[in-house]
Amino acid sequence: VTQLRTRLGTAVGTSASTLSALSRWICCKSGMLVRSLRTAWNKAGGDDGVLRWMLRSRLRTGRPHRTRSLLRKYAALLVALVGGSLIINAAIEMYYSYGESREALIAVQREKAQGAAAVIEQFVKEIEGQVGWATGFLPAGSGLDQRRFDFLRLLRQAPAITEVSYLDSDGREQIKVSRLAMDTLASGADLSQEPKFAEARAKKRYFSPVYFRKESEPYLTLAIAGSGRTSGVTVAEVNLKFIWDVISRIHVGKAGAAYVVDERGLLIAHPDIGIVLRKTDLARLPEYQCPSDLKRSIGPRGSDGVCTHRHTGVVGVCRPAAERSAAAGLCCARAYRVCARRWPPVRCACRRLVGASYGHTDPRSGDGCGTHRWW
Amino acid sequence: MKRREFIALAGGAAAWPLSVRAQFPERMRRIGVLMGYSENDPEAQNRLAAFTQGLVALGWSEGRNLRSYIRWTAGDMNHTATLASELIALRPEVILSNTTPVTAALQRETHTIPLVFVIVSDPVGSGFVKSLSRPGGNIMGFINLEASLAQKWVELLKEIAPSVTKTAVMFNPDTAPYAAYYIQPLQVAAAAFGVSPFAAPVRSEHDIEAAIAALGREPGSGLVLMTDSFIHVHRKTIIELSSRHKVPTMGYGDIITRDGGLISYGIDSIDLFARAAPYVDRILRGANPAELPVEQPTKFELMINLRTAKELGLTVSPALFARANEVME
Repeated sequence: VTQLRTRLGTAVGTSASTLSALSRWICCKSGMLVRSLRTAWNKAGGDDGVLRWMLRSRLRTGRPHRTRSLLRKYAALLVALVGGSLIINAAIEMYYSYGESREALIAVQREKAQGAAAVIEQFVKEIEGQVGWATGFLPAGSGLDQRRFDFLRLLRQAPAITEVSYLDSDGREQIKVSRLAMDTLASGADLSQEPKFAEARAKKRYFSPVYFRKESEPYLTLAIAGSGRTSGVTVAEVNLKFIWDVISRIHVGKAGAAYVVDERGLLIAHPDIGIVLRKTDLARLPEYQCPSDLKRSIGPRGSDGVCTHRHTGVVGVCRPAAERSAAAGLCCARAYRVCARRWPPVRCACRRLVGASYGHTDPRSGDGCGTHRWW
Repeated sequence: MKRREFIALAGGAAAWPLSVRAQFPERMRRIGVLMGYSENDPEAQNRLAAFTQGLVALGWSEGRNLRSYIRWTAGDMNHTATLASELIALRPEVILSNTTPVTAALQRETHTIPLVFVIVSDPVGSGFVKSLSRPGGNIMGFINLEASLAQKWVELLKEIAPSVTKTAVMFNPDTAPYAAYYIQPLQVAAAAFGVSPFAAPVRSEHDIEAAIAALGREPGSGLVLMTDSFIHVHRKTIIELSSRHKVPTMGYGDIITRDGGLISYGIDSIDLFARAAPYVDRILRGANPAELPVEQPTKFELMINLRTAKELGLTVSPALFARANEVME
């Protein structure tokens, strides 16, 4: 102990050579140990068990190493004290800051999801209003020409409507005006058994589930019945690709996005139109199980649902959009876990995971990792 | 190893990526563009400009991080194959092609370089993609017009010129191998409107002249122009001849009406070129072309040229006015 004190005292006293003195001392001691071990090893002819025995016996007798073991104790105590307190401190700080950041993130996303839901509701309402206007009562004897004229104007006003038709009170198609195919007048096709006629007659309006035209473009059928027993039903085919215009303008941080899924989890609007046209079923993607979970978590009064994905840490907020239409479904905003900011490798891993599933690359950053800043 | 050496080495290693980034300029990326039109055509230049502006907006600028090789086929089939192999030899990372024959020529040359097509009518039928939602190969892009739109052409032609009882459908079988794709639905509509359709295949300006002169001699004739790069290149001749022979002509895009044609129904082609830029950008940034879906058109425009209508002695009905997106006076 005295020897150590003297050595340490000299070392600390001469501050300039502290490190070099200590390191030289450690090198010297460890060199001795290694040399003695090697000798023992050679003596034993390289047997593993003998080496272990040699080591144990040397440590047990410990005659030349008494001072070294005390130093080890000092060092271990020091490291444990400093390191332990640092770790505990960091853990506490991280716990609280994670909670706070998560709350803040959810608050922002809730706002975004609400905004998106409102915009989509507005979109659906507008189309509903326009179709309702075209369903209006026509004076007797005005014939199909007047109706056709109204429908043509409707198509001019509402670019999202691809096709509009009028079914009379018996469910027979009187007129169909389309952007894509020729118009038909008085085809007389019987559509009285179709839900778009039956449900619209019963409940005044009907929204079909989202369907994909040519397996690619998301569409929705909207049917509105006119007032009065003799009035018919106007049926409009709405191209939901137009929701993209509004969805793509909503930014959630740099890597987040607002998107819309229907009740079954099918993606119907996303800033990256490509994944919508691929008819992506989010319910099947592991990191996007949120929608189905969220549907359960959304309260009866239409409150928001929040989910955190267990692997990627993606936080999502969902809000039902256009409550009257079952089809417009849920509108979600997502962003990335805040704690990822602290650990760039985690951040990159998260990004790669999400990016890979989507084939998504952010145009504003090359590979993203390192140069890309998230929330 | 000595401590100082170790520190110097570790420090150097940590700072290395920064210094490398500062020393080397951005990597030059190469793209190819094979246009099916003529270089002197201002409309074609506008379309190309829409594409390049789209790229600039996404951070790609010529000379700094992008080098583009642009070739023009001017609707010439023999020339197309040569230019396609020439372009492939330059090893671009992605190629923008337009029109079906140009895309087909490039497809014959490469199965690895991603191709983004614009103004292609029937990519599935032409064998470019497996399906619209999942192309599955190195080719993807934008459809210009759907087959059913041919019905609209007959319907609108009959509406603006009710006296039409028969109509020729003009196309070049070499540059429009997909003609049947449009003709089938067109026949259905023609039957519904009491118009008898017949094909008018043309391969030269002389053919065009003969076909339109023949239509002019027979009263009640109309002309439908199929979306075809050959027709596009020779559109001015066609419009001039049809107005001289008083043949009501239906076009496939606004450019026909702008150049003096009577009526047109189609899409905004310039917008389509602008939309191709993000696709090219995504491929340059590593997206898998097999996973990028083919996009279908959503916005259709009806355009009427009132001056030409007046010359032909036609009156435009209120229903047509209600439908028209633009009326040129």
